[in-house]
Amino acid sequence: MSGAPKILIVDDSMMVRMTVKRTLLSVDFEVVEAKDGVEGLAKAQASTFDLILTDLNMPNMDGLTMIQNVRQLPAYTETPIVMLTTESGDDKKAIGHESGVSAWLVKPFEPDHLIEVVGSMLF
Amino acid sequence: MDEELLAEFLTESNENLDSIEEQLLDLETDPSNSDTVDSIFRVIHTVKGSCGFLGLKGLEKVAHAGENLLGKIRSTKFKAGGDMISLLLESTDMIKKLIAGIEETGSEPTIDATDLCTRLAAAERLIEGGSVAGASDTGAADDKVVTMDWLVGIEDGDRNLLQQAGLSTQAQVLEAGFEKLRAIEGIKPAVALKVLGIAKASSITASEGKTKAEQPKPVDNKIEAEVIAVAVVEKTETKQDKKESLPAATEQKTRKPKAEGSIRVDVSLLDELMNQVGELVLSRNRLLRLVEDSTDTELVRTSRGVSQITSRLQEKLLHTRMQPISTLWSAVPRLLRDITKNLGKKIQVEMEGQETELDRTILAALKDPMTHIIRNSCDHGIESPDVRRVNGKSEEGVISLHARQESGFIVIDINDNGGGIDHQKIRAKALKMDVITSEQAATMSDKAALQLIFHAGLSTAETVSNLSGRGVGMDVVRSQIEGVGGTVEIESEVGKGTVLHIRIPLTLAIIPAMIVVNADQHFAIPQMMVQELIAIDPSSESWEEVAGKPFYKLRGSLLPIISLTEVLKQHGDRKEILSIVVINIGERQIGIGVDDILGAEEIVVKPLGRHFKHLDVYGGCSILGYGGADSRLYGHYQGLASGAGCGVNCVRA
Repeated sequence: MSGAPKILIVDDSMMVRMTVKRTLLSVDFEVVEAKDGVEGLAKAQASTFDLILTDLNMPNMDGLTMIQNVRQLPAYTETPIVMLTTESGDDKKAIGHESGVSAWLVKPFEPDHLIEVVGSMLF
Repeated sequence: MDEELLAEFLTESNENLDSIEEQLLDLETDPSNSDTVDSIFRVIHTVKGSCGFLGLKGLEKVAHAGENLLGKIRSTKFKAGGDMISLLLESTDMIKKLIAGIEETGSEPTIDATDLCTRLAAAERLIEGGSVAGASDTGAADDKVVTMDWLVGIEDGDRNLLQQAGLSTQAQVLEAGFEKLRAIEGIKPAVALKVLGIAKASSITASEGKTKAEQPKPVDNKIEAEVIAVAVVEKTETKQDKKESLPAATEQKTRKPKAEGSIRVDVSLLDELMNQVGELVLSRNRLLRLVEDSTDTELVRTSRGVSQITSRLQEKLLHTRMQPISTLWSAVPRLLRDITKNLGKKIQVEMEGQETELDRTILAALKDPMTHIIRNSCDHGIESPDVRRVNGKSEEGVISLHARQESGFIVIDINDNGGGIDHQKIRAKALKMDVITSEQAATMSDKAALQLIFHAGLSTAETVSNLSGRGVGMDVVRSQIEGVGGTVEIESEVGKGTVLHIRIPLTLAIIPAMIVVNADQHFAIPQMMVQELIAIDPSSESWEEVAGKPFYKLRGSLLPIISLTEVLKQHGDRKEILSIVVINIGERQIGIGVDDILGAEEIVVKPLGRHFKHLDVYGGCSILGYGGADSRLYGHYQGLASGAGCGVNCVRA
C-alpha cells in the first residue's frame, strides 16, 4: 500500500516541522521534512509529493525561490504548494501567486487549521 | 502545555539566540549588510512563530514587536544605528529573560514588557517608509480542489456517519471531497482528511482490480489503525534514509538534526561519572603499587591493562567536560559595547585562540573574573579618545584576549593598550595602607609592587580612582582564579598599557603530581608547577643568607628556599634540606626544601573538609598509592609562600 498522501514540509524551525509532522501523521499521511529551500528542492526532485508546505524565510534558499524551482519540475506543475508564514501582506501574496503558491497558511496555526487547508488543497 | 514541544522550543531558541547578539553587533558595524538583517529577522521570526504554538503570549508580544521592527529595517533597507541596535539588543535580552524564566518554572514569567514593545513600535514608525506593517490576520486558504484517490481503520461511529451520508466507496468519498466530508456533522476535519488519505491510498490498488461499490472492509479498527500508523512512520523513515544517501552534498540529516551525533547529558551525571573515575584512578594506583613486586606475570599484565584502560577512560571523560573558551568570550563584544556607550570611549576587541578548550567548571568560575578584568580595562585602563589623541595614540583603544594551551595549563592574556599603572603609586598606597613595610617598599621589585594590586587592602573603589589603576575587587578576581587552581599576574607600563596573565589548569579533578616526603609525611606538589628537581649536598657552598632568609645559588642566580618543615611546623628531627623542588609561581621561581622526592603520580584531588578549611597551606587532599589509606595533604602555595615570608602571591593547585 503505497498511496497514502505524501507531504513535504520545508521549514527551518524544527518546532514547525514537528507540529506539521505530528498533525499529518495523525491522519496517516506520509511526511518528509526539509530544513531549507535547498534541501526541500532536492527532496522534491528525489521523490514525488502530493503537497508541499513551505516556510518563506529560510536560510540558504527562501521559500519563494524554492517554489519557483519546484514549479520547473515536470512532476510539480499542478501540485498544491502551501506557504506557511507569518507574513500575510497582499503584496507578498501577489508575488507568491506568481511564483506558484497555491495557498497561504498564516503562522501560528492550529493543527485543525492545517488539516482544513491540506484537506481542501488535496481533495 | 506540551512538554516535549516546549523543551524543543527552548533548545532551539537558546541555540538561535546565542548568535543573535553577535549578529546585531555585526550589523552595527555594517548596517547595509542585508544578509545579517535577514538572519536576525529569521531568528526572532522563528521564536515568534513557535510562541504561537505554545501559547506564550508575553514572549510572542515582544518577539512580534521585534520582528516588526526588523521587518521594517529589512524592507526599507534602513541603516540601523547605535540606538536602534541598543533597542534590538534590549529586546533580545528580554526574550532571553523570558525564555530563561520559562526554562526555570515551566511557565511564562510575569514580566511587563509593554514599555519595550511600545518603544519597538515607535522605532518602527520612525523608520516608516510607506508600506503598511503586516498586521497578522488569518489568511484563509484559496479554494482549489485537486482530485486524488480511499479507507481502512476508521472508528465505527465515523464509518456509520459516512455511510449515512451515502459515502461508502472510496470513489464516492473522493468524489465528495474534503469540503463535503467535513461538512458532515460529527466528522472531525482530521477524520475527514484521514478518510480521504486512506481512500486515495487504497484506490490505487482497488482501481486496478474492481472499482465497483464495495462496503469498506469492516476492520477491527483500533489495532489496525495503529499498525497502519506505524507502517507509515517506518516507511517515511526508511525512504528518507535512502534518499539521504543519494544526493549527499545538499542533503543533510533531516530527522533530529542535532540528535544524530550528540545527546544532551545532565551535568550532574557527568560530575558523578568524574567522581567514579577519580575513585577508579585511586584504586588503579593502589593496584599498581601492589603488583609492583609481583612475580605473577599474568597478574602484572592484567593490572597494566586495567591501568591503560583507566587512563583512557579518564582522558575521554575529561574531554566530555571541555568547552571552548569562546563560550565565555562571546559575551565580551556586548559587554564592551555597553561599557563604551556609557563611558564615551572607543574600544575594539581582538580575540585569538577562541577554540582553546577548558573544563566547564573552570570556565564557569572564570566568567566573573573575566568580566571584572575587562570592565576594569575599559574603565581605568583605556583612556578617553581625547586623552589618547593628545598622547599620540589612536582614538580607539584595543583590548585583546589571547588563549593558548601550555603544558597542562591554559594561559589567558588580557591586554589593553591603555594608560597603564604606575607601580610607584601602588607602592605608596600600599605603604599608606600598611600592606607593606617601608623596608619592603624600598626593596620590592617594580613587578612585585604591581602585584600588590591584588591585595585586599588596596582593593577599595576609592583607591582605584586615586590610583588611576584598576583594583576594584582585584583581590576578588585573584581569589576566584585561585579558587580553580589558577594564578594571575599583572604587567604594566605607564602610557603603554596593561597585561593580565591568567594561568589555569586544564582540569581540576585529576592531576599529575610530584610526591615528596618531609618529616616522614607525604606531600604532593602539582607537576605543572614543578620546574626542576635538585639533589643537594648539605655542605654545599651554594647556600647564602639574605635578610635572614635562605637562598640557594642555582646557576648564578639566587633561588629563595622555603623549608617545608618550617612552614608546616612539623615535628621530628630537624634535618638538613636534601632535595629541592623548584616550582614556578607566576614567573618567579622558588625552591621547596624537602627530605626526599619519591616520584610522579596521578592524584585525585578532593577538597578539604570543612574543619580544615582554615589551613590555607593546603590545596586539598588525596589518597596516595603509597601504602596505607591515610589522607595526605599537599601544598597550597600561596599560603606556603607567604607563610615563609617571601611575599609571593598566588598559586594554589
